[in-house]
Amino acid sequence: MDPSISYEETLWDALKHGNKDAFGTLYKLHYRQLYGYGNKFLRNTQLVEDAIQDLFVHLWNTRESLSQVHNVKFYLFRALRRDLVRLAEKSRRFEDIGDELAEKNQPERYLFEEEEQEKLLIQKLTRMLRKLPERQLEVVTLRFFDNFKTEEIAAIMGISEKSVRNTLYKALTHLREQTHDLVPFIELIFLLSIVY
Amino acid sequence: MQDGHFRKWVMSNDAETDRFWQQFLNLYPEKRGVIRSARAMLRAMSILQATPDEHQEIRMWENISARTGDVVAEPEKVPELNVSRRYIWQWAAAASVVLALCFLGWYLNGFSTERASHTYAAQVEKLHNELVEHVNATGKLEKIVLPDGSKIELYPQSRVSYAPNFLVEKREVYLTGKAFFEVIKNDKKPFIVYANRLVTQVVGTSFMVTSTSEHEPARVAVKTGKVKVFTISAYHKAGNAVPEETVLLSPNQQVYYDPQRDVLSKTFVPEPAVLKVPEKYPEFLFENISVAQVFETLAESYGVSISYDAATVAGCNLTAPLGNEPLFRKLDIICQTIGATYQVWGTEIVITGKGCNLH
Repeated sequence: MDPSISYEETLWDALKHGNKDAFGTLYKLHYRQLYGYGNKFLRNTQLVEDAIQDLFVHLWNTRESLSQVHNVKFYLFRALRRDLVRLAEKSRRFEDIGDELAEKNQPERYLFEEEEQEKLLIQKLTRMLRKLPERQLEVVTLRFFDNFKTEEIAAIMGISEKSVRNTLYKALTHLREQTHDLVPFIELIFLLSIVY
Repeated sequence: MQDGHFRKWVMSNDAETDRFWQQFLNLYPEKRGVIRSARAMLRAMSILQATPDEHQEIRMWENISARTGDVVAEPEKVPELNVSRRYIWQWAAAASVVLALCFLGWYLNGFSTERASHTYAAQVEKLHNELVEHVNATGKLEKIVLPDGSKIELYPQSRVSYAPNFLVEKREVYLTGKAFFEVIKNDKKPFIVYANRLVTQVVGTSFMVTSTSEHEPARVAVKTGKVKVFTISAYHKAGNAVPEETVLLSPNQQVYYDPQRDVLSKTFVPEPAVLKVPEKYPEFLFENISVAQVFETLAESYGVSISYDAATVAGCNLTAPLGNEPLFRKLDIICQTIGATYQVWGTEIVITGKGCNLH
């Protein structure tokens, strides 16, 4: 595939020209991740939903003046975060990550070594991740779950690349300290080392 | 590592953190278990990830649509798109998906109807009370065997009726509430369930119908066989002939009926079941298998359609024991591993990503 023009850029271009189908497709491609991300730091589903709607409505209304975008997902994440911060300040409802999903995955009490170890690790990691400070979790999520590059994360969050790296480093060190009793975590460290 | 995603990770080096982790790399050169850990990390993160349900998705899109004017944009204002030929097929694919699903799978039957006459009560009354009626006033499932041998599991607070001459022409059942049907196959006599404003027609199959009143959203979910669903207005449009506007459901698919707009939308059931155990990978245990092959296996086993372009999976291999994970979890794991994302458009799973080849 021609790396200079991606499928999404084509959609973006069509959107700029008023193509509603392209608009709908862009929504379909991104609403889910935007929703997940939005709920990460604003525990108010309604506000997140509203913000996503506003974002897309704004996109449509200003389509003619949109600039060329190479990474649509990045553009949308950054815009959504800006809107959410504004909304949150307005309603003073900047809240911590919820733990409503908390104990969904309860430990199951049968022991097949590998499987069990992995389950334990997942639980432990989930718990650890949930305990991370909001900002660290956000960086970790953007990096590992949403696959953004360091410079993109910096731009989305409006902080320097250096602080993205520092925050990541802190988060991972924290995870490492908390998980040292689990053998497979050695492997995780290895994995993370590859990541960087 | 054969896995492209890991190679990609290796490539995106970051000097500062790298130095710190480097010592671990030296200490633990074995790569055993890396995938398991990667999976654990990603799964832990996806557990923390909030996902919108389909109602939220639809609600958001409806609001967006309402606030951005009519879907039919003035065609003279849309200039010729400058799309090179290699993207035409993508557009064709996107267009057909959009067409087929018509923005979230809604489709209008475009027929204004007198709504009052389609309740269960009205339908039953029209038949001059000649019907046999079962009412489940208990708190438990009630099993009913119809004269043709077909079975109904009737849920509490639900009722079904059928004519005493059930077998004469058509097999027709009237339902309000919720029931699971297991229909004996009979090609000559279609089995029809009228559930308020929904009509479901089958030959032989098993499926669930939920329709509590004509004003509530209704649902038909298919377990086995093929099922046709109509809105009642579409069903009556051409008399009793098969109308053009139908939703055809396969196993693992369901249709939602929105009474406010009188429209149907087709989606997957929330947890698609394995329809056919894959011969080559019986435990969904993949060891360095091309992702294209993995998707093919999933598509066949779950009877779903998975689409992607070749570049999305180019150079991607997967090693993962996917076992009994639900279908969508399997897809999460695969997509995370190859740095792709998937979207469910009605009854099609669309994968997007950049492939695993290094540039």
